[in-house]
Amino acid sequence: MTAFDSTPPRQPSLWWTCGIIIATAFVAGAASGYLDAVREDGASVPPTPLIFGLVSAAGAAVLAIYLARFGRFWAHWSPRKRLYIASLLLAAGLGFAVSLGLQMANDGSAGFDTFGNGRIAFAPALAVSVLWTVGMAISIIMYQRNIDEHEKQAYLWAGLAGFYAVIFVVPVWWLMARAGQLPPVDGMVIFLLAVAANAVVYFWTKFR
Amino acid sequence: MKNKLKILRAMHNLSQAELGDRLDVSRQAINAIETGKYDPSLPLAFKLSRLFNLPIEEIFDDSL
Repeated sequence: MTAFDSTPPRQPSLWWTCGIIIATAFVAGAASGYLDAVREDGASVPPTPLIFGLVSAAGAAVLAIYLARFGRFWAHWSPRKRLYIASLLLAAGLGFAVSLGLQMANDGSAGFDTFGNGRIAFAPALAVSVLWTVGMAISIIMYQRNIDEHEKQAYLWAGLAGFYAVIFVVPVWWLMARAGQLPPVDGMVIFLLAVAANAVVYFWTKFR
Repeated sequence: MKNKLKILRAMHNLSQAELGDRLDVSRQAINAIETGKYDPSLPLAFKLSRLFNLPIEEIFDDSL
């Protein structure tokens, strides 16, 4: 027997798997935003977390049905690859949990914006903060210990790009704000900017 | 760095994903090595060498 004799089983498509997850996130987010808008107009609609949870559950069911067609496709995966995929699933689950937590922080008051800076209750803010910190720490440690060397290069360059996005933008914004030309520096905008720069470089380096 | 990975893979009738599984790296890593966009580490180069039973310098060419 040589190293080339065995044929691994058919694998699920990465694009279909990611597509179902992204589509679920998009539909859940869009439905939540629509419900918030309709509620602000005074209409009676179901609670946003309920709809968000139902859409997420439907997406999970679609993904499970798709993956079930391939049987035990993970059986021949190496331990490293299993932990790597587990870290990605954990990160995706964390994203849904944080989104759901933010939706639950919505007390129905007018002007609520999930990613805005409006005031929210302490309990859900604390719960989401703990979930984010602990969940991110676990998934990042799992991820970094189990990525292959090519992805590690993409991850490191992407991290550097995120850092550069911050050090170029923040001082200029801060100075312009002090000069009265821009609003005060917004931490969440900086966070999203760094994540966007990180994502662009990561996907370019890994998938080009 | 130029290399013969694509030719060797074709000779053994392996897809990028199958070769990646055998080396415990992603399909994207194999594609990046084949197209010269990524140079593998020494441990990965040795893995390739053992898998195809060829010296590293017969798989990779650093002369250009």
